[in-house]
Amino acid sequence: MENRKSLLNLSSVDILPNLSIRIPTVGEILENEDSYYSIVSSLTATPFQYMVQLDDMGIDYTKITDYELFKILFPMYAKSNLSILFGDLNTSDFDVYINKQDDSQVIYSPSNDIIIDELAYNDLANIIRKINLLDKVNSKPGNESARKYLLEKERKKQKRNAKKKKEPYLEKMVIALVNTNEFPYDYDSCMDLSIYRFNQSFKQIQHKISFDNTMIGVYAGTVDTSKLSNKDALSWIPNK
Amino acid sequence: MNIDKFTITSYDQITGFDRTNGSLDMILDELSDFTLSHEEEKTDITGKGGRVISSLKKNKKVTGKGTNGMLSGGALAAMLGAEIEDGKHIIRYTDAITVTENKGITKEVATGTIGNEISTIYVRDTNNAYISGGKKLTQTGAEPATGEFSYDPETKEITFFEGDITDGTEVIAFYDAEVEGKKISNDSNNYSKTLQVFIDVTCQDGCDNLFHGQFIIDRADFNGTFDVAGGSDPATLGFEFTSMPNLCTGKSQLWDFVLFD
Repeated sequence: MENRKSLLNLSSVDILPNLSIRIPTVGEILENEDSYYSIVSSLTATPFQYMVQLDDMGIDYTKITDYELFKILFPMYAKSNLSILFGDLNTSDFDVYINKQDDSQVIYSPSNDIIIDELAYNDLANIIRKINLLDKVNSKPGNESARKYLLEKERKKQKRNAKKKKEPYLEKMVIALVNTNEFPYDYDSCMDLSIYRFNQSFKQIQHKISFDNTMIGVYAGTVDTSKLSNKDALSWIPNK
Repeated sequence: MNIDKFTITSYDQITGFDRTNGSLDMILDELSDFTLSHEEEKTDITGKGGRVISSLKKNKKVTGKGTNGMLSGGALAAMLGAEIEDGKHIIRYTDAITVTENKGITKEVATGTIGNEISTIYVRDTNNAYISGGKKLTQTGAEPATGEFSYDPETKEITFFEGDITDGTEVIAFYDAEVEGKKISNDSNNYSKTLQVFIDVTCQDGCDNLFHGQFIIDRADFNGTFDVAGGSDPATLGFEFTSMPNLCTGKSQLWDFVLFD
């Protein structure tokens, strides 16, 4: 990953010689953003985020790895249209197979002769997270009582959220940014931006607004920079 | 878990129990914010040259203050010093009734003094006004004359004087009806309660491991000063309590915190 080109200048990222991840445009995602974010969250999910569903399947979410979860989820999604992420690649025959070299289970497509092993999966999930500004959820319960407690809490949360109407995330972001002075695109031109560029612009604008407001406070004497816990707000170029 | 290095990532739930019989009185599980504040007064004792040689510490106080995203009947009852009554209650019902052939049917059974269950029916004027304008019909226990109506609670049927109200007219009645439900009464003689409170929290250590923790407050004296505000935003419930030592058992703790292993 370290030697990869900047994603700002790419429309797709190579994971394996014949497997690449597309960086879709904002317009493409807005065609069906529910579906896009559902695919993205599933392909990058950790067992912690799927604790309720795994428990319903009789699987302890602390006992399986990220890749094992991917082996459950990916073959299910692969049957549907994943062209927004995988382009022309026919994903319909991706399934779990035994790798004859080491007897391990891997995701394999006979028609494309592509093996997604744990290494390739990590690469793929990290790229999708990077494109979509997602952080990997590394949380895990520290003991058995915490495991049960978190599971119960999450189950209750999901039950409540199931009744709530889903809010269109990207659409709201587009409206907010297009109507912000710092964003140099209008509704039409913004549709051609790759989601990575769009997300990076959002991140930078958010940082710049925070910087400007902090500086107004500094010049007005209401903000003491020595007491700021986040020193990153003192530069308009973010450190990370 | 290493209790020397942890953070509380969320206040998940507050439960309150009756201190006498241990029954569950309230659950607040949509906490949007919560703070457990600690106070202590410290007075310096000075010696020669005004140097501080010791300090006198007193007036230790713990208060819990927060907002629940939803109103909780149990919490309202705790803050009002009320009990929740489950059963049949009388409410005032607003009923828009369409008149057909000098008759109308109420949606609920109007209750009250026989022959005066509804008392008045309001008929709109041409401006749709029925308080400042329009016509008021009064109830009679006998055969209605003009400007009157009669009511049969058995059949819920209203009978108007023939020709008083044209067919299809919508008239409005306000009457008492009996409904099944839960009632909280704010009695001016009762004050907010003191409950045994448990606060469930999720904690995280430096290695992203999550743990379950719980604050135990033996005597949480709830504050009866609060607002129930509504409007464009949904009503939320702000609450506040002060922790007190349990003098009956001799315990002086303001709270205990247990981090589950």
